[in-house]
Order: sequence, then C-alpha cells, then structure tokens
Amino acid sequence: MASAIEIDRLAFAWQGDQLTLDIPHWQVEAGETVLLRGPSGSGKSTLLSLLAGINVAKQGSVKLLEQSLSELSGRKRDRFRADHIGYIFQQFNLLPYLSALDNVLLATRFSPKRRQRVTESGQSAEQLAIQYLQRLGLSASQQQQAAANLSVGQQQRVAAARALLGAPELLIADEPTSALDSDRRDDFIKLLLELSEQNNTTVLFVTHDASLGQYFNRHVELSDINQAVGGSSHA
Amino acid sequence: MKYSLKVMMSTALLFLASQNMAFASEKIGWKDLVPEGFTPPPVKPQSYYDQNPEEAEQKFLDAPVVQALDGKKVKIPGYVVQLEGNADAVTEFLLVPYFGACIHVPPPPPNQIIHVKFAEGVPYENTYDAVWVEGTISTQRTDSDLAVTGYSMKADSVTVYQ
Amino acid sequence: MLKLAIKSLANRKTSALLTVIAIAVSVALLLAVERVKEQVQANFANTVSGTDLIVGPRSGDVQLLLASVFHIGALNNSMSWQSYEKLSQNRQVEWSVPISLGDSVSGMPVVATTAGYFQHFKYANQQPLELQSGVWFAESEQAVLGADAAEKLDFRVGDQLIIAHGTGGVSFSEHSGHPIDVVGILNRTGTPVDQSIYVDLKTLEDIHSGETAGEAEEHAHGHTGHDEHADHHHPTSAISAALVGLKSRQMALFMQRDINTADGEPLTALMPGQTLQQLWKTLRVFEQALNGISAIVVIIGLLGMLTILLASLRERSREMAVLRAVGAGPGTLFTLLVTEAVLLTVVVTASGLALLYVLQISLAGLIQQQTGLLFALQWPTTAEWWRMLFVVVAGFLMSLVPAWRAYRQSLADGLTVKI
Repeated sequence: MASAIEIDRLAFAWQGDQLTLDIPHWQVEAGETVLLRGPSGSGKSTLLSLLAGINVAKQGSVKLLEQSLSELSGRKRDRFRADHIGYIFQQFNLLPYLSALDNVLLATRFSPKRRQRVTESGQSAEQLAIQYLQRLGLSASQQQQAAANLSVGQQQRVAAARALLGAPELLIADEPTSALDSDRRDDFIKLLLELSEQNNTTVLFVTHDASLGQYFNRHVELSDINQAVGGSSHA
Repeated sequence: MKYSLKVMMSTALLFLASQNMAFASEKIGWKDLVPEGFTPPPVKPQSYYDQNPEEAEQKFLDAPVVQALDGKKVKIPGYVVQLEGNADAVTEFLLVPYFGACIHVPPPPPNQIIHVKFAEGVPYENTYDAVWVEGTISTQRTDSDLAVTGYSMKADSVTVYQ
Repeated sequence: MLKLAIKSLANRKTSALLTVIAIAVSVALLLAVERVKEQVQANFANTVSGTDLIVGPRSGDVQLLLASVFHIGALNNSMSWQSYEKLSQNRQVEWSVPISLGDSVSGMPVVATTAGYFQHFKYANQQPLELQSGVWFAESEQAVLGADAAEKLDFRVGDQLIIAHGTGGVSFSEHSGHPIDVVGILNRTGTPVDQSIYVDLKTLEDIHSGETAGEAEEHAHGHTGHDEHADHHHPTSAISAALVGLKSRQMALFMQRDINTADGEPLTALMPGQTLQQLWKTLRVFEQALNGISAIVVIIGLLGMLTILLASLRERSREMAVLRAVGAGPGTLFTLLVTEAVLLTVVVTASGLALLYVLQISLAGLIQQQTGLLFALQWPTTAEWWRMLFVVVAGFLMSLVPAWRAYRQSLADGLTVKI
C-alpha cells in the first residue's frame, strides 16, 4: 500500500535553535483515517503547514504521496496542494461574498487535475458540488446563499464539500468541529468520513478532543511522534 | 531558405530607400530664397522710412524671388504667424525667419515670407517655437506692380524644430 | 479572476461606493478642464476668418480683438473717420469694413457697420454670413439680427426695436425717439455674430446726434456745397475699429508695422490669427495650472482608495488564507488585488466621464445663452482619452502597494488563523 504521508528525520525551527518539531519517523498509509491530538502550542499548526506545503523543512524530509515537498518550488507546492489536498479550518473557511456553491467550486478552480477527476465521473463540477451539498444537508436555496448568511454548522459542511470535491488524496482537517456543538459534531464527522471513504481519501483529523478517537483508524498523540516538546519518542 | 530571405529583405530595403530619395525634400535656408547677386538698395535707418513710408513700401516690394525654386520640394525652418486656424491647429500661416516685432527691425520682405497652407493643421502648442515645414514651394508671378510677388507653399508636414 | 474581483468589491459596497463618488468627481474635473479649453478654443478660433487685419485706436492687441470681434470688454477711445478713409484707400487694401460699438439692445451688442460687413465678413472655414429671413439693411434705421438675438428678444422681420446706450443689460438712456425696423435675421453661426444686432453707421450717428432721420438728410444736403469731399458719404466722425482684407496676405506683416508706426493718429493694427495665437499662449499658463491642480486632486482621491484597500487587508487575511488553502499562490492574491483596484478605477473613470456629460448637457443651454459659446456634444477627444488612461494607470500603480503587502502577508501568515 502506498504511503500518503511519510516523515523522516524532520527537524524544524521557526527561529533560531529552538526546535518546534523533531520527528524521527512517521507514516500514514493511503486510505487511513488518523486522529492527531495535541495541546495548543505543541507544534500542531507547524506540522500542518509543513504537510500542506506552506512551509518547507530544511532538515529531513516530508513526503506526500511519495513526493518530497522540499523538492518542489513554491508555485509547484501551491499546485500540489490544489491537486492533492483538501483543507478544512476550524472556522471562517469560506469567502463570505461567494455563494456556498461557488465556495465549493473553488476546489477545482486552481486545479485542472481535480476538475478532470470530476468530469471523468461523468458529471460537471457544478452538478457534483450540488450533490455533495445536498448530501451534507443544504437545501437548494441555501446552496445559492452568500456564505456569510449561513450558520457555522452549515459553513463547516460547505467547507467539507469543498475539501472533498474532485477526490483529493489527502484531507487535512484542523479542529473542524471545535466550533460546533456536540450534536452537530458527531453528524459532521460521520458525513465527512463517509464521503472520504467513497474516494479512498486519507484523513488527518486534528483535534484536542480525545473522545473522538472512536471514529478513526488510528489515534496519534503529537507528543508521541514529536521529540521536540520533550515527549518520549515512541514510533 | 535563408538566402532567399536575405534577397527579399535587401530588395525591400532598396525599394524603400529609393522611395525616400524620390520624395526627399531639399533642406534650404532663408538665404536661398533671395536670388544670388541681388544687391538690395542701401538700407537707411528705420526713422527715415518712418518719415517716408512710400519709400519703405517700395523698398519692401522690391524683393525678387528665385524662380528656380518653383515647384521644388523643400524643407525649411521658421516661425508660424497664424492666418487661419480651427479648434486645435493652425491651417494657414505665414512662415517667417524670426519672431517678434522689435521696433528697430523691419518686418521680413516678401521674399523672406512663405504663405503656407496646411490643411492637416499645426497644433497650437507647436507654433510657439520654431518648426520645420516640408512641402512644395511655388513662386507667384504677377503682372501688376501693385501686387506682391512672393512664395507660397503647400505643406506636407510641419514638425517641431529640434 | 474578474468575477472574483467583482464579487469581492461588491461585498464591500459602501466603502467602494464612497470612494467611487469622491474620485469620480475629481476625474470629471480633470476632464472638464480639457474639454472647456477645447470648446473655448474651438469657438474662438471659428469666429473670424479671411480678415487679414483689424485696425483700431491704439490699445492692446488682445483687447482690440476681444472688443471688436467677440464683443468682450470695451474700447475706451475711437478711430477717426479720416484715418479709416486713408486706410481704405491704401493700395494694398482690397476691402475694408468699418464698425462701431457701444450700444446695445437688452444687453445684446449693437454693431454699426456697412453693407461691406455682410459681403466680406467670414467665419470658421471661410464661411460667409447667410440670412435666414429678410435682407441686409440698406439704409438708416434698419437692423439685422443675429440668430440668438432674434430668438432671445423674440423679434421677427417687420418688428421694431429700441437701441439703448451702453452695453449693460438695462440702460437708463434709451433712444426711444428712433425705433429701428428689423429687416433681416441671420443664420446661426456659433459665433458672437449670433448675439449681435447690426445697423448702418448712419443710424447710430443719427441717434446720438439727437436728430430724426428726416432732419439728418436735410443737414447733409446743406453741407454738399462747400465740402471738398462732397461725394464721400461721411456717415460718422469716429468708428471703433475696421476689418481689412488685403490684396496679398503676405503683406499683412508689413501693413501691420506700417500702421502701427505711422505718424498721425495712434492706431493699432493686429492680425487676428496671430493675436489668437498669442491669446492661447497666455491662456496656456492658466490651463497648465488648472491641469496640475486637477491632476493632484485625482491623485489625492486615488490615495484615499489606496488607504481603504490597505486598511481592508487586515480584515481580509482570513480570505487570503482560505484561498491559499485551496491552492492559490501568493501571486494569485497579488493579481486579485490589482484587478480589484483597476476595476474600481475604471468604474470611477467611467463615472467621471458620465458626470461630465451630464453636466455638459444640462448647462450647455445656459452657457450658450450667456456667452454665445456653443459647447458641442461629441465623443471624448484623444486628449481626454489620455487623461482617462492616466487615471487608470495611476490607480494601477497605486494598487501595487496593497497587492504587494497581500503577497508578503499571505506568505508570512500561511494558513494560520488570525482572528
């Protein structure tokens, strides 16, 4: 099975010598769903920014889908992200002046590859986007509404649709349910994982809530893999 | 392939050069408008002419032209004195060798004035300083001794003098 | 990209709208300066044609031109009839037309002249005067009206009018004893001719000497016996100015000098074309000053737009992060901001142009009535397009600052939530 994420001897510091990340080895297989837990300030955001290709590690290697990100230029990393990664923030995922539908379609705007995958399925990007939104519980009129007029829960669902449109190989969700109340949280996670499974998307779900571990294949504590915060090095 | 391209280019250049030569105008100066060997009558001080205006006029009119210039394409620099104009440009003017109506200097005689017609017009901004006028110059013949012989020109282009 | 920029701007409608209005007004001003200059120049340039010299009492060139042809300002002295006669007899002169000014009808200038005016006066491109109705005056106590004068005063051929002394709108000294018959009305020319009322020189003379037409004739007959110049019609003792056409246009420079330096009555001779040239040269200084000021005002307005764009960057950092997350590069964000700014500037410029046209259309009638200047409606001229381009380019250049900031900011922020 191909690895979705492979990290080797990663050492990363924002400034000076103080290492934020020191990960000897970590691997996630394709199709796995991983819950990554760690308190704030433990280097979670840093790890995500490296995985998303926003920042580059000077020491060690970060490979996504067998591609080493440090080998790619800034533009290529942006393209890589567009082609292969779906990203969900904790909140404010959407451009407030675009409709829900248009926000979802942003997914294919910067990635011809994803557009292609969509059309290969026999539908237009718009049709598929509407389908996703429907599955996520948004009515037709809500789909046309400006994102600013939707509730937080609805916005997160739209974000999920956007992250998954065009079947990217990796989904990174950074505390996507922290702003939702507990009822909605569970529904959201179930839907998200259901849609991901359809496309065999690898899911990396970051949260501080350990109780969500039940939904995922693996539960990883950041301190287990990251030596920099003084945690023990368990593979 | 490359050779024939060279041949085409040189032919084109030669053609353009010949066109240029055919339409090239001769650069002339204001002295060229006065026939050689013509000695103007002795110049008396302006005050004399102020007192004898008839003489001044006669002296003024006694300004022969160079017939050989008739029909030639020439290019001459000078200053624009507007006769007719439209909203943005001067369309008919007198081209003179100098600007200003200094009291001590008489106005240029007829063989030092060119009556220019230029339908395209010289933008007003360009007329505050010297210009190059390029076109076909002609000399007027007249029988009457009242009328003035002089130069006129149909201008092809009027450009700012650099 | 364009759609995105449009929607993004629409989202911040209020601040965008205020910016648009402020800058649009300043753009309209920038364009107006050019347009007014063009129109004034066009109107003035078209006013007199085919006249080689204008001769009058000693005064400034521009003053004499403005007073004699444009009826702007006044001449405070006059030219004697003898000087005029001498001038008209000069062998270089082909035709000459005397004119006398100073009276008015309801503020519209009365021009006393001869039949020669109708014959020789031309405007625009050697266009002669034409009558829309009636005939040119043939004798005393008859008048021909310009198109606007007839319209404003509501006169037709056959009506009678009273001439008032002075050029003010209301005169307390009217020549009510001498009603004048309107015998002709001229076609519109788009020049000060339209506002004028033309009468014979003799008419004015008669009115001012306080005699009726009948008495004046008797008086003239009485002189015939012992006057050397008995054949000459001595309509008046002094005139305001004379229009002169020469046999040879090249002689204009010589004649001008000749008249200016002649002994005897001090006179000024000007070449109308040359004088207009000088006028434009003088006005150019004012024009450039106005241009400079209005350009600065536009730039200030654009700086305001720049400030708003910069200020909005902070609150848009989330937007930027979202776009980065879906794969937009910092370059894309740069382009987005530039597109927004240029779009805004284009809208602003178009609004400014529209505003100018609206003003022009609504004020044209008033301007024409008051000054006789016809502000023609036409597509923007090349010069105006250049100005509009200047505004758009300025807006573009200004946008590079926030665009660059956004570029840098997005690189630094990455995907970090910054609330």
